[in-house]
Amino acid sequence: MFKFMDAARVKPALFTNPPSEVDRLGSLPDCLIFQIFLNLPTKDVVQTSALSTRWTTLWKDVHGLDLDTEDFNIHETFVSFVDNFLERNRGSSIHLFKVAYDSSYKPDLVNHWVDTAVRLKVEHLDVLDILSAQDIMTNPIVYTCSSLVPERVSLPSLKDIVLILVEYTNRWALEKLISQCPVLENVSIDRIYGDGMPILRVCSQSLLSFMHYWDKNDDYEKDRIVEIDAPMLKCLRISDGGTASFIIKNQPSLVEADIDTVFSLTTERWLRVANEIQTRDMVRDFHVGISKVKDLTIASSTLEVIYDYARYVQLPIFRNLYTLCVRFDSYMWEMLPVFLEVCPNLKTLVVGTSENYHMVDLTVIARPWSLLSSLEHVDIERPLKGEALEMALVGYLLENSPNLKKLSLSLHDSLKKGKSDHKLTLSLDDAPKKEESDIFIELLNFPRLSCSCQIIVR
Amino acid sequence: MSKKMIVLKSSEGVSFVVEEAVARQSKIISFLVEEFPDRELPLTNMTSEILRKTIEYCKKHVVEDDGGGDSSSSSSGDLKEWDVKFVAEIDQPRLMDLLMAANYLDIPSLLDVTCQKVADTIAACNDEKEIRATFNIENDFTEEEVEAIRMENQYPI
Repeated sequence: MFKFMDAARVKPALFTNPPSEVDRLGSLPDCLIFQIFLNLPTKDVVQTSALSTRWTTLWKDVHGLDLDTEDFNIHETFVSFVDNFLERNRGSSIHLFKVAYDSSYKPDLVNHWVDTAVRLKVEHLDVLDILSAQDIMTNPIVYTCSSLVPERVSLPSLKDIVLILVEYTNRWALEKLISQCPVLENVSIDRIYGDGMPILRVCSQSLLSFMHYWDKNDDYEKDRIVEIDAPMLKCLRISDGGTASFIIKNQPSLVEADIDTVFSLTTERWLRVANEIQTRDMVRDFHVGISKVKDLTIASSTLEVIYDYARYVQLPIFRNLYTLCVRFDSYMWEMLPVFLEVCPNLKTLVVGTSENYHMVDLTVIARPWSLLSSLEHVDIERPLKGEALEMALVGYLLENSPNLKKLSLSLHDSLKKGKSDHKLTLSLDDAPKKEESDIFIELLNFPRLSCSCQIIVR
Repeated sequence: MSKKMIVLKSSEGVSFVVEEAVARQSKIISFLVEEFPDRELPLTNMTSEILRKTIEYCKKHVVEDDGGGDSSSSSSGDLKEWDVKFVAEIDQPRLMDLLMAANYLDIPSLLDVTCQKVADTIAACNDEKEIRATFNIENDFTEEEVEAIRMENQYPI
């Protein structure tokens, strides 16, 4: 009943005349006509001025320009058309500034246009040299423009993005920028705290290399997330002290990876957090994500996390891994064998050092390890001081590698003759101080599983 | 799990029961739902036909947006295709109504799609005569006036 009354009271505003005879377009409010104009190339917009008196000056009030130099016979006409547009919009903000020009126009002129457009708070900027396909991202003013709407920034030929200590006023801006560059190959980000980007999703079908650096010394806001969905990715470098969660989707066929992160887990938290299923899954999924890698460099602190979690989760097998370099910042060797067990095809192992390693006293727990049957080369970069933990590592590698061909190592200066005073101050062991010859004897006495193994002292 | 429904009423008084999430793509409805919960919302200047079309659009778009981050990138292409088909099937007067509806209800994506379709129709015309014929625009100029306007506007060729 009420419905019926309503229907009777309200006259339908539409369809009062036969549709075919009415000028529906001309009766739209101006603001909607401008909205339509923003979807048209400017040459078509100008053409409407000859439709009827209703349309004569409408085109001049559109806050958008989409012009191609090829639509003009005369160079100067094009320039003055663009100049007039910018002049008309002085004091207002513009929605679109899209200009295709060629190299006959001076870069100064184009830069001037871009400067003006940015000052007019342009939202969508698309300036293209139609001959050389260079884009205006060389003009630094673009990066400081607050009004640009990121989803419409179009950079069809951009290959590299390097961002150093950038603050993001729009938390999605970088994500959108990355996903809208169809030929993007390299992204390198050096981040700062409070950069306004709690979640970064790197989604790119073309990306080959991704580097993510975050200073480790800062320690607040440790709940950031980085998600990488780049199936073509070949090179991944992470050196990160601020991201709690790295998510790697689609298991890229990585050639090279360098991983240094503890996923924001501090030493105190490890034991507590280790019970949290979510973190376990994240750590496991991260390693599944990188498990196709061929050449891996990993920080010992990351290995410690793996070691910690290996008790709770099944580590993936790194079947393609041929070369592994572990950068040790402590004497904690024990987690190395745990990781080596999931590298069935490892040929070369490099025991590296990080620049500022600290001494941690930890005993290597003796337990039977599985054989490192694929391992052929080991390089211990850090000079040995003859301490028990170091020697235990060498012993472990020699005793468990049936096909080892070469193990290279060097001795610390303090062991060499004539530097015995120095030796006394540096040694941490309680064991009697060793000399070079003691180490040699020890090395020779290790049982070697491989009968053809050379030990090379540099 | 029952979803909250709201009732929209067209100019003819026909009621449409719509999931709240679907209707909320309109910023105006979103506002009204908060101000007047549990009430029928009369949309007095929308015919049932146009309201039905608008709801169809909103339904399609809410389903696609539902999956969150994972599915949106893969389905956005399909969604665009769907949009193109959606406006292609509508005749010109109804397209204008839908454009007005999108503006009135404040549904930016629908406004974009409909404006784009009108723009494409204009762009497909060879000259202003064809635009006039397509959109029933009455020419109140003489030939000389048209020529004068062309000169004045620095016409791109």
